[in-house]
Order: sequence, then C-alpha cells, then structure tokens
Amino acid sequence: MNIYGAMNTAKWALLANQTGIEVTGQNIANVNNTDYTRQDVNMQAQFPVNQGNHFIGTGVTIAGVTRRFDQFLFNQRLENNFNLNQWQARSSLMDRMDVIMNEATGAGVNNQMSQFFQGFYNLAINPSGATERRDVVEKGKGLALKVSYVASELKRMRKDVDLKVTGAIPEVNRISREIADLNKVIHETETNGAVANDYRDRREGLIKQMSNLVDVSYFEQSNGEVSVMMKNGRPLAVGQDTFTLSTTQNASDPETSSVYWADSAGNRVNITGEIAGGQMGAWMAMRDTDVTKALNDLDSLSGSIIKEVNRLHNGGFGIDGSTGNNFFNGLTPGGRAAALNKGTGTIGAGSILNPDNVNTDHFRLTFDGAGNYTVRNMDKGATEGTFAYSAGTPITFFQDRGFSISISGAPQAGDFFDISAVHNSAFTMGMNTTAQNDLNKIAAGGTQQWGDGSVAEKIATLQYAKAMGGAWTAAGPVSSATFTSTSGIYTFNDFYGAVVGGVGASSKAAKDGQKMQEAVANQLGNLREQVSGVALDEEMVNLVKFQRAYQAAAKTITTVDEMVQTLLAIK
Amino acid sequence: MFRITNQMMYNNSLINMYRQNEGMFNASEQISSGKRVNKPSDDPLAIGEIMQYQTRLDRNDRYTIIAQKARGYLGTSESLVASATDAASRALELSMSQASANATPQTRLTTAAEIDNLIAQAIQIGNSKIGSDFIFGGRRTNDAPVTAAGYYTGDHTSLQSDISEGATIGSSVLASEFLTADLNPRLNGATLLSSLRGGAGVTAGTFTITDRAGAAGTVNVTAGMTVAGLIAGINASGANVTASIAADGMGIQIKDNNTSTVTGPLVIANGSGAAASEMGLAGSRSVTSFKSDDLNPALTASTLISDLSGGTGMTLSNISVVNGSASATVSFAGASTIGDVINAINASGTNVTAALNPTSNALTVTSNNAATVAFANDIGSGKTAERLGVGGGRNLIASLQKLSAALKGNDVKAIAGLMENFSSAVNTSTALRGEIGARMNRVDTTSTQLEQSKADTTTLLSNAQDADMAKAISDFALLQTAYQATAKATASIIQPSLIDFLR
Repeated sequence: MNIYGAMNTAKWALLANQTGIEVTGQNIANVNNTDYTRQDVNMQAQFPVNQGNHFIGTGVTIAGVTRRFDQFLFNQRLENNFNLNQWQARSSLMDRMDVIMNEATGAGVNNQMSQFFQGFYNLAINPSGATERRDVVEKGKGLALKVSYVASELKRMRKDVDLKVTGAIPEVNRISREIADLNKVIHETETNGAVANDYRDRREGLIKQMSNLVDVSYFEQSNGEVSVMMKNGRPLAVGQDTFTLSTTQNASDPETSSVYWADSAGNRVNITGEIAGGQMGAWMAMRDTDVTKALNDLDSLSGSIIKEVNRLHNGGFGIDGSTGNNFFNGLTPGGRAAALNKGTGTIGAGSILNPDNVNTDHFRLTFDGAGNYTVRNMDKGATEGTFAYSAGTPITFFQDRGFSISISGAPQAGDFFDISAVHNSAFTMGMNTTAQNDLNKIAAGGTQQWGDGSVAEKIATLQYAKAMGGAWTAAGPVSSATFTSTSGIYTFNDFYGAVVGGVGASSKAAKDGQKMQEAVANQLGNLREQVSGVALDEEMVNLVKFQRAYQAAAKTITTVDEMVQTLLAIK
Repeated sequence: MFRITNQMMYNNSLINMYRQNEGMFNASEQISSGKRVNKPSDDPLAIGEIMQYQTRLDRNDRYTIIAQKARGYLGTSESLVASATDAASRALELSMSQASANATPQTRLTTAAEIDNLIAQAIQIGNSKIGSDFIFGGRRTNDAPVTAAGYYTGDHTSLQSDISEGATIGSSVLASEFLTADLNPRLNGATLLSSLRGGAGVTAGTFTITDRAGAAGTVNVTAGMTVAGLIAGINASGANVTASIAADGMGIQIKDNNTSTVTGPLVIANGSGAAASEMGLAGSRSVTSFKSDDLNPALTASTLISDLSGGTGMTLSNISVVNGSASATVSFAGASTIGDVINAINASGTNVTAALNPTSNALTVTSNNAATVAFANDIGSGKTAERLGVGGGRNLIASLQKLSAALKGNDVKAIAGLMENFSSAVNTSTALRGEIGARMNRVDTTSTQLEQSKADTTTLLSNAQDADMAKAISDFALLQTAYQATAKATASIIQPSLIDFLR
C-alpha cells in the first residue's frame, strides 16, 4: 500500500464526519418538528486490503442514515390519538350541551315550568281577574319559548356537528390522496436501496392526522407502500389508489348527513354507523345519540305538558262561556329515519287519534331483511313484538297508542326509524292563538261561573302530579283520575332534573375520559421522545464529536502531506 | 439510559401549568359566583337536588300568598257572619219583648220598622263584596247571590283554595248557609230541560254534533223534553258519541267513541236556537270526553228527595207548622218527591199553602188567611224545616220577613213562635263562625309550617349549591403557590443548555 493510502483513508473520514455534521444539523433544525424522527449516521469500516500477512483498513464509509423509529410505539400512539381526539371532541361538545341545559343559575326550563304552574295558581285564586289571565298567557308563552329555545339550541348543535362531519370529509380525502402520493415517492426512492427517512416521517405524520378524524389502522407492504384503512375494514388508501368518502343530507332528518364510502367501482356504501373513533366518531355519536336523546327527552317533557294541560283546559270554560279550547298547540306525530339506513323507507304523515290519552313514549322500529320489523319502546327499554311488513306498502302503525303514523318504501336489514307522538313538540311548542288572543277564553273553571277556579287549580297541581314515566294503558291516561297519582314515576320537574343530571354526568365522564387519554398521550409522547426525539445537548455533543473527528482526519492529511514533503526533501 | 429531550421538558412544564391554571380557574369561579355548582357537570347529582329545592321554594312562596288571601277572605266572612248573628240576636230580643203583655200594637209597628232595617241589612250582608267579587255566592262571584226579595241565586260550591300540597280548604262560605236556604238538586233522567239553569231552561231548537271521525248528527231539543230524552237524542244522533249524566250529577258527560279513524276535533254547534251554548256543550274539542256546564236544575214538584244537596239527599223528620191559633205536626213518612212534601204540608189542616220559592231552590209556607202569619219549626234536633227553607236556622231573611209581617199584623202567636227560629238562626250563624274560625286556624298553622319549611329548604339548597368559601380560597392559594413554583422551575430548566457552555 502506498503512502497515499493513508491520505485516502483520511479523505473518507472527512467525508463521513461531514455527513455526520450534516445529519446533526438536520436533527437540530427539526428539534421542534413533532413528526420528526431523530436520524443517526451509521458508519462502517471499508473493506481492508491484504498486505500479505496482514490487513490494513481503507477508511470509513456511510452505511446509511437511519431513523430512530419504534413501529410498535407508533401504533400505540395512533390508537391513543384517535381515542384522545374522540374524547376531546366529545368533551367540548358535551360542554356546550352542559351550557345549553344549565339549570344551576335558576333561569332555565325548570324555573319557567315553576312560573307557569304558579300562574295557574294565581288564576285559581282569582279566576275572573284580567291580570291573572294575562299572566297565565305570558307564563305559557314564556315556558313555550324557553323549551323551544333549548330545543332549537340542541337542534342547531346537531346541525353544527353535522357540518363538522361534512367538513371533515374533504380533509380525509385529501390526506388519503397525499398518503397515496407519498407511497409512490417512497416506493420509487427506495427501489435503489436508499431509505426515504423524511418522506416516511411525513407519511406517518399524515396517518396521525388522519387518526385525529377517524379510527385508522395501517400496514406496510414489502415495497414500502402502506395501506390505510378504517377500523371497520374499509380501505382509504391502498398503495397508490385512494377510496373517497362523501356525504348526502338525510331527507327525513335534514340536520344529519349520511357518510358514504365508494369502492373501487365507484359504488357508494352507507358507512354512517360504522365510524366509531376519532373526532368523526365523537361527532356522529353526539349527533345521532346524545343530542338526539336530549331532544327526545325534551320532547317527552313538552309533549306530556301539552297533553295534560290541553286535556284539562279543553274541559274547562272561559268567562265568555266558551269551552273546548286548547291552551298549547296540539301534538303532531313524526319521526326520524336513521342516518345509517341503507334502504328507501320513509316516514309519512301522522295524526293524533286520542289527544287526551296518547302514548308519549318514543318507539324504534328496526327492520330485518325478511320484511319484518321489531318495535322497541326506547323510553321503557322493552321490546313490544315483531310484525310483518311488505316492502313498498305503506303501513299505519300505533292506532292502539292513540296516534297513527305510516312508513312506506323498502327498508333494508338493520334500518331503523324512531317515531313518537311527541316528535319535535319541544321545538314547535307554542300557545294556541285563540287562547292567547282572547283572555276570556282561558278556561279557569269547570263551569261558567266566574269564581270557579277548579280547572286552573287542576292545571296548577299538575306540577306535582307524577304524570311521566308511568305505564301506559289503553283504558285511560295514567294521570287523569287523580292529580296526585302514583301510577306515574316522575313529576315534570323530576324528569327534567334527571335529563339535566344525565347531561351533566355525560359531560363529566367525557372530561374524565379526555383527561385519561391526555395522560396516556403524554406518557406515550414521552416514550416517543425518549426514542425518537431530538435532544439538543446530545446533538451538541455529536457536533463536537464529528467536528473533532473531522479535525483529526484533516490532521492525518497534514501529517501524510508532511511525510510526502519529507520524502521529497530526500536528495 | 433515559433520554430527556427538549420537547419532553417543554411539554411537561406546559401540561403541568395548564393543569394548575384549570384548577385555579375552577376555584376562582367558585369564589366569584359563591356557588359550588355552576353547571350540571360540576356535580350531576346535586343539580337534580338544586332544581327540586328551587321548585319547592317557589311552591312555598305560592302557597304563602294563597294562604294570605284565603285568610283575608275568611276574616272578612267571619266578621260579616258575626253581623248576621247580631241581627238574629236583635230580632230574638225584639220578638221576645214584643210577644210580652207589655207590648202594644203601636210598639209592634215601630219595632217592625227596625226589623225591616234588619232585613235590608241581612240582604246587604249576603251581597257583600271583596273588590269586585261577591263573596257569599260561591264560585258565582259576578252576580249578587241574594235577590231583593231575599232568595238565594248563588252557586252551591264555595271558593276553594289550595293552601298546601293536597290540602284544599273552602275560603268562603255561602249565603245559603246562614241567610236563605238552597236545596240544590242534582240532574236526574226525568229532570225537565225547562228546569235547568236555575229554572231559566234551555231554548228549544236543534244542535249538531260532528264526531272526531267526521260522522255528524243533529239533536232536536223540544219543549217539555227531559234530560233522559236529550241523552237519548244525542246517542241516536248518528255521531259516534255516548252521552250520560256526569258523575257529580251536575252536568252531561259526552264521550267520543272513535279510537282509530280520527280526522278532526269533536264539534258541537248550535243549529236553530242556542241550546248547545246554553248548556255549555258548544265548542270544538280535541279531547275524547268532556262535561257540559253545571246545568243547575231548579227544584220542581217531581224532584226526588234523594237528589237534593247535589245528590246526597236528606232525611225528612217531622216539623211543626203554625198558623194563627192552628198548629200541626207534619210527618213526611212516605214522601219521596218535593211534591209529596208540599202536599203533606198543605194537608196539615193549618190553612197554609206550601210552594216553591221564586228562585225555585227552596220552599215557602204562606198563610191562606191575610190576618195570620204561617211559619214552621223543626221538632227536636231535626233540620228538615231549616233545610227546606220554611223555618229557622239558615233562613234568617225569611224569618225576619215573617216577624215583620207578624208585628205589622199584630199576630202575637207568630211573634212568640218565631223566637225559636231566631234562636236557631243565632246557633246556625255562630256555628258557621266557629267553622270559619277553625279554617282560619288551619290556614295559620299551615302558614307557620310554610315558613318553617322555607327556612329548612333554603338551608338544604345552600348546602347543595353554595361554595365552601374557606375551602375554595385556600384551594386557590395552594394552586397559586404550585403554579409559581412550576413557572420558576420551568424558567430555570429551559435556560441552560450545552450551547451556553461551548465556546
């Protein structure tokens, strides 16, 4: 080996350590990039040359620049991320519901209810008083306004959440597209043996972004491309292809949109019920379960108040001798077709058959594939039987419950319809215009006598009547016989208290869930930082290390140069 | 080796400071609002309790106001009934003195003038008002309950006040309980439509019924029709409804039988005449069953004794009828109708005529001889004469009128005999005052309970809702200290780096 061999070895050292400084520089530059994975330079000795009875090394080479990446940890963080996002989204929406239904300040529905019944007490004491009549009308309007305000806030919330869902769909599609594009770049880059570290960081960042929105999992193929799919198994990006999501507004329930997934042939499949995690999962659950439940409960409350007050008011007499007037506008049955329905079933118009003894419970009709449907009382949690349905033939249901409603079209297996006689009654609650505009038509008495306040008194005592939650019988309304009936379970007040308490408890649970996931995220984040994070002190040490090595290699060259000069000086 | 990277240090410091900030925010919210529960999620269990207590307090306030008003009505009623007692005692005194041998026709004539004043006073008491409402006419507060001739035209149910949950008291009494009687019969199938509405009757004509499924029918109301006839007419009208006499006997109940095909409300409208609206049937209703107005049937000769007093009926005991020197004990054995009662009195041989009074709600007994005054007394502890309206007790006005006539006619027998009627009138009104006093007592006791319950509930509400200030403030101070320490530690941990030491 000649003298320049050593010079050559030093040259390799210069190059290798220069790469080391470059990589350290890249690490330092990305110290605040949360998706960045720390990179290491792998140095390796060059193959030695055989000098007869011994080998001499020929320097160092860069075997590769590798990422300190822990695949298992990343999978854990992905799982945690969509859980965390789900709880965060849920918690912030629950917070909003908490505020909408806030009763702690004493100015909520409960207070209005109390005032309303007090108005009737006042009327019962002075049945012919114009002031008391005016007051009852104002309190009635006040109650209706407050209930419909809460209902409209909940409906708006439902719509807002739905807008979030529809707004997130293009984002999911964009991320799928970018992942597919990166798959192509990584595939091409790595064909010649290099590792596309920074592209991979970027791709993992995108997968994590995707997991903010939906519950995704992924796996890598041997060519370096990844397949990303939702937990339900529907792929979003496979290699260089993507599968797009889209939404369509639900005709029977305009506040919701159904989410569709298109397969490779472009066929749209309704996957609304299948998304369970990430922000989308939280939004869908809030929209289709929590807010809907609160609305239904509010409907039960307002529907029962409307039914009971109207029944009594109808039987009373105004001081003009008129009778048969409603106090509130009557009920109209209706329902919602679930957003996840795959069939073409629609809900038709309904009518109240027996206003003073209509069943105010909520019912769910779930269809199986064979043209049968099962009726479930959602308020009592009891299944009421399975009945045959012939697709395409409208059928009128519930005549025996004091109302009727029809379903037509061809529902598919798993489709369900939530129907009730009190549907939307909270939102539409309002005073009957006849009673509102003519104070003399407010029925305070059971007779035409001016001093008869018996009906007003009966309406007032409804406040303490256990008028809700009781078993419904076809024979008569549960609370009609006596107004301190024990056949019901809740007073209006108890019932609403339970609704508000339920929302509060859900909100608290969501906050707790969020806190727990945050703690896990923090823990996992620390673990990731331990493996993949950039520590500046460490990088500074590396910088010094490479700098010194570079200096030493340069010194080797100087030394060899001096040796050559020594040689040249031999004359 | 455990690697601690820069990100880890920043994140940890931030998370800890966020957590402490959140704690301080919650503590300061409690301190500034003074409440532990500011929204349902702060304590989901307490929120139900808070709502319950707030409602209970509202209810309490309401009952307090009702109790005050009831007490006002009862207080006024009590003093007015006391004036009636005074009038009865004065009449007793006067009848006593004028029945004595010292009295002369001249003094009796003078005394008659005073009695006439007492009559006017009694009628005035009966027609007393609080504000614009007549208080002795029951629920009929808009019309004077006692006519100028001294007969009752008011309602048969007193004003009712709910003074606490499930506790209702009558906050007024009726003029018919101490001034002038009211027999208040209930409806019966045989009751004539012409006797309804206090005898004003129902105009003949037609009305239409359209049931909730849209089937319509017409009902004819004819002169001389009975309630049973009207019910049969409604049931046969073609509309799918069933009519019956309501359970309380004072009105007609109509029930729509449709259960499956409903297209609209149940509509009843006047055809020719105004029969439907006169009975309180006219209207458009969405309910399936309702009751007419209180039809207030007038007394007729065919009214059953068992239908009196709103259907509770009465037991007839013997009464004594006096007319001049003639007197007789009348037994009502076997009498089942008002007609039988009238006949029994007329057959007493005392030359009297019993008849329905002008407002058709009680009886009168008059002498057939212009020179004598006829009257009746109860025998023993019976109340028959009093309740029928012919003598004593609650018939103060009638007794005064008879005394006035007896004084003017110098009928000493009647003057002496009426003494008994006045002493029973004093007893009746005194007993009524006692009852009013008892009701006032009940109102007072309830008011005290309401006050106590208000104080208790306020304490409970405060326990459930209010913040423990000492705890909230010390929590806040503790968190503040922790926050300051974290901030300081963060500042000193983030600053030094190897960069500072490499030159």
